[in-house]
Amino acid sequence: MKKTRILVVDDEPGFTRLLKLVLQRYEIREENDALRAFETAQSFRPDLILLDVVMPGIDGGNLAARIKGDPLLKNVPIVFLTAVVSPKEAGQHPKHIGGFPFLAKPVSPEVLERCIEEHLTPS
Amino acid sequence: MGCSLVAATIGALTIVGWVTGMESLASLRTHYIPMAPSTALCFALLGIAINTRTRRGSLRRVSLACTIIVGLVAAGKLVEFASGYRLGLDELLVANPAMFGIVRKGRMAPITALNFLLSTCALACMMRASWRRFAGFPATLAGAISIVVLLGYMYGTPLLYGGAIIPVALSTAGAFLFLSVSLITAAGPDCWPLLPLAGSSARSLLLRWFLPIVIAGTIVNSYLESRFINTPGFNPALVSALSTLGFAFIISAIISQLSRVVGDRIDQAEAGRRGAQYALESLNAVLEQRIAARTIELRAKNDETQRLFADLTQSHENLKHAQLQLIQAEKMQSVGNFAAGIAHEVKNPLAILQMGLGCLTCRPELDAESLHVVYEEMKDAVARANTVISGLLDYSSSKELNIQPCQLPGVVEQSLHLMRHEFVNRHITIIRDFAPDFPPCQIDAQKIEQVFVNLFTNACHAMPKGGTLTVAATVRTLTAGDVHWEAGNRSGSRFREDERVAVVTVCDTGAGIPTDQLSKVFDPFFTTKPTGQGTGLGLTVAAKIIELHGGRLELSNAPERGAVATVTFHLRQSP
Repeated sequence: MKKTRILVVDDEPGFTRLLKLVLQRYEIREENDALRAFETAQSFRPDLILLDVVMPGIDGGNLAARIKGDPLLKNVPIVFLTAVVSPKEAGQHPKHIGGFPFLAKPVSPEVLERCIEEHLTPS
Repeated sequence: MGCSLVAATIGALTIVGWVTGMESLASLRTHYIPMAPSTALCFALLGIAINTRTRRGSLRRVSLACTIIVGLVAAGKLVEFASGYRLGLDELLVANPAMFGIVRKGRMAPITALNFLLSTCALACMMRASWRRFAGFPATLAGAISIVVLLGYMYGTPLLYGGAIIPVALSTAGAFLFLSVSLITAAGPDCWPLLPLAGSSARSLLLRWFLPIVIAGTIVNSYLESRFINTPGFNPALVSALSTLGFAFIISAIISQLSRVVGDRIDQAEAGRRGAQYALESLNAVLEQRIAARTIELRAKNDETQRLFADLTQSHENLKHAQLQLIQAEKMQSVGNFAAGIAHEVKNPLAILQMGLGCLTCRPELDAESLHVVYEEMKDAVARANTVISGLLDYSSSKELNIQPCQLPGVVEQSLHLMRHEFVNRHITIIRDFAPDFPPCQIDAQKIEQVFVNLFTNACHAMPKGGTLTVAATVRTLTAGDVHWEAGNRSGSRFREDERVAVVTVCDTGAGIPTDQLSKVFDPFFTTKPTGQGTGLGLTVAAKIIELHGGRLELSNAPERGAVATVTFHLRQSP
């Protein structure tokens, strides 16, 4: 059976490397260079994209907008991973910031996996 | 001039009368005393003096000489009368004259001498321009005396022309009257007594009409009364009535004429005044209209100004309010940015640690190689978090300085020594350019060492493929251009023109700093380095340390390539 493809865009190589080890049930593609992420997404054709917010070159918001503007990628769900949102904000906006679901770093593998599953099968 | 000639002629005729024996020429009437030859001579001399007075050259001197001679003769005669001593002035001309009553003929009367003295005084006053205004007084007095003498003759009263002393001859009095008129005229209309009579004013006009007629009328009336009232054959009442009637007629005629002249003038003046008043009233009305219009205009402008002022005040208040809000927002944004920076730099290592823990707990099947990766990543994450927290502690604890006099090049050299392995690994060549005889600087050597290590570290990161690091330490004097940018600096440690400072520059051959990011390089957590290589606190801490030393840290791009960090220290006592 074909594995679900997940593209992880984050400028932290350590994080993406460990995430890949944890989520072995998915086919994970790491991308640490945000400027190359769009092309990677076009070639990889992921089922879901995990996207960091603060990155050098282009931030997650602009990258998400670009992905949503692409006809081939516009339906790919995006989940933000951010370290700059406080737990209080996370409590106030449990799911969405700027129209996208998000997870606040640090995040446990269980929560991350649950979130991925939730957004792979939209209700 | 004519009057003076008449007087001189009278004198000359008298001399002729004395010389030819025709006494009537000297006395006019046989029972009147004749004019003395000396008097006649004086009149002739005064006539010459008056007529040559305004000439130039020798004639003017003749005038002066004649005046002096007459004055001396008159004074001599008065001395004779006063002292009784005979100077023999008259005797020179008429040695043994006939008697006239109790006095001798051919002798100058004392009143005559006095009049000559007054006349010569008047002439003397006219010799100088500044004295001329006084000439009218002695001349008028002489004329008045001559009139009194003439009245004496007219009324037949000897007391008035001599009494018991030598009487004044009738011709002498007449000649004096002409002489006085001549002198008063010569003094000019701008001198008394002509001054009030001259001009076109109502006063002078009235004086010109009334004064002569009243004097003449009074004299004539009195003369008629004295001459005819007691004369047999004349009805005194009739004479009195006729003289009064005649006088009244003349006065009435003059007043009538005067009324016409003065009345015309008053009418003209009144018409002029009315015209001027009408013009003034018209002008006033126009002016009032203009003032009213201008007042309305000004009131409108004033209202507009007040409204604008109110708007301006409101705008000012709004601006102040907005400014306060902006300051508050800026503060909140600074705090927010700082918190976000800390969150980003700490939470990412925490996320790695969390994920590592997840690996260890959820994936027990991981092979040794993967486990090694997990351990290494977790170890790096802990180190990164520690670096960030240490940087923050450095930032917060950098306020305490241990200031000592130090050799700045030595401190820089120590920093280079600490970084030597990094330079070797990255193939970076070091060029030192330290000025000799560097003066000691008041610095905290350890903190400044940290600053230069930070700067060298940044330089190393900017030259990943090697390059050249040039470090220079100099002492120089600041120019106006160096301190220009500090115009708005309120701190007590600002640099001033002509100040001696120590300057250290660190110049790399890297890619430099993007221009749009130059203003952010000192912001906490701002970094252009790849993730994990920098916390974004190095330059913030370095700038803070330099600021605590009262110095200045600037970052710019070199003209050719690379970035230049310039650290400037005061050479005076550090704060």
